Amino acid sequence: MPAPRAIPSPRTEAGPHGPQPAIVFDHACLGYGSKVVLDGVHGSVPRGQALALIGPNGAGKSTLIKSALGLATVASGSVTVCGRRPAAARPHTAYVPQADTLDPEFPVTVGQVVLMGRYRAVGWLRRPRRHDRIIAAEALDLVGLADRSRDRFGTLSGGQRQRVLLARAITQQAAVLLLDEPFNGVDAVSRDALIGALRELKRGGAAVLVSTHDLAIAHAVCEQVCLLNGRQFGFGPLQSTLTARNLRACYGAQVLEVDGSTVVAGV
Amino acid sequence: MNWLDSYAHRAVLEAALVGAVCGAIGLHVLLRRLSFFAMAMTHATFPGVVLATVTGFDLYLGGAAAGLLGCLCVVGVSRRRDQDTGTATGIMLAAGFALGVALLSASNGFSKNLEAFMTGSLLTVSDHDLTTTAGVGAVVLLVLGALHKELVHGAFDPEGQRAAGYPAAALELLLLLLVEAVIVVTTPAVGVMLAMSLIIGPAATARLWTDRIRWAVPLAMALGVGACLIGLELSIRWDMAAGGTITLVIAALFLATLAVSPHGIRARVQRRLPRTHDSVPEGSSESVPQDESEMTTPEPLRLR
Repeated sequence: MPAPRAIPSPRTEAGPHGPQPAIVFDHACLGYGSKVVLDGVHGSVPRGQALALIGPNGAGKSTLIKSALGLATVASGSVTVCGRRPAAARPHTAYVPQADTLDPEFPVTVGQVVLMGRYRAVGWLRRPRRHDRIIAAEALDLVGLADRSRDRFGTLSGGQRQRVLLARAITQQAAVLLLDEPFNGVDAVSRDALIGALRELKRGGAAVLVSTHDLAIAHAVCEQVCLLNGRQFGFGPLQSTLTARNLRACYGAQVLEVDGSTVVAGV
Repeated sequence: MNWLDSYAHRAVLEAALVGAVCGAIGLHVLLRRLSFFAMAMTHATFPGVVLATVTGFDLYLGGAAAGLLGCLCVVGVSRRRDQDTGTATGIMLAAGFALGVALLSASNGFSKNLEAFMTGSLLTVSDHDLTTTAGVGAVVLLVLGALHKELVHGAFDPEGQRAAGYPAAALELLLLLLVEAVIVVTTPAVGVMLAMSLIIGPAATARLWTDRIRWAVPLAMALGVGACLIGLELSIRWDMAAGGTITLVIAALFLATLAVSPHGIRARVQRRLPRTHDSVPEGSSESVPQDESEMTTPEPLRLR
């Protein structure tokens, strides 16, 4: 048996969906039920690249992520993940929730949380096998927490918990990773570990969507950026999209240039 | 003479069955923080049990039907964003109980008194009660065992489970159905009011002893069985109501555990000093060797 790899082998490459972009938004209007949250999303993310979702709170970043998981309504236009509609593409997507939405008192170890990523592959009524445990251990190693496997999830710091959740997503060996504000309240060490792991995943051929408030993160891991605030204010390569003009339009605030970086001041 | 011909033997068997099943399901109720919801379900079951007895309908089916109706009411009301689940549950809890009392008082000349429904009568369980408890209990334990990893996953991270393509809502509904089934089969033994303590008590006690679900399930079951048998023994010895005695034993076990267990009060006080360590800004306990300079990097540019 070949050694299992935590990094997704580009398995969709050989499949019929290989050459297509991992995610395509085609003039998509997104929301929940009859309520529209986000309008005019248009763009695509190729495999091996990352897209930063940037916008103020309530801009629709989470809605966009949910739409790629098939958990939001597509009122018009379309969202296509790995050549399929999002709900049908769930075996190829992995979702990383915000760590602080999870109960820190829950009696579960770090190792068990990571192993949850394998449950779909393991299937109903079955127990994870050695193969699954090896994949989980490798993923935990990739985020730099191999020695915390037996600790209770809630005893870790916020940043470490976020890394554990990324490790869980890695074990799904998905073609698309969706991260909801993974860098919120995360310390420098965890931040670097997350960035390193995301780069590694991209090298393995995964497409990454990451929502963030942090322009530096976008510069560190993303090729493309999507500016959102109720509608799309820009979707494209970092340099041409993260302009002061676009940011001002998106945030409705003063945009400054500081040492070559763009900063949005006071909303 | 058949071993089961003795009312005491039947009571022992029923107590053990009820204790084991309640302990197992109780842990899942705790993990999903459904204690209050389960409490409301017991109270919603009450009028169904009363109505079934008064009309001569099957007690189990009547109770189950009423409990499910109550369940749907809470889920329906709490679906609306402006109503929180706690309020809806509280209202249903009181209404269910009131309906039961009203029905009982309206059925004049009915022989079975309120107490029998509220606190049960372990010493008068019939063979039918025993076989029903055993059958339903076996099904509940089988389902809990078969779906253990999915149920725990959903309790920990419902959103993530949905995103992974699992029918998370259906799993939660299934768990509620199992809880309702357990409440109904527990009713003849300890009554609708005390079924709650049997579901929550042993599981909460087990949680104080261990952080591992793997150990907590058998421990909760063992505690449930133990509490039921001890309570039954004491009730016979001191001539007290079995349901009440069992509940008192469960409460005593929980309080004693709270005092001495690894996660209880004493341990928490002892840990107070090293615990303050945890609140040091994160990164301090990081396992990855860190560069001094990293900690002094200025705050990244942030959009607010």
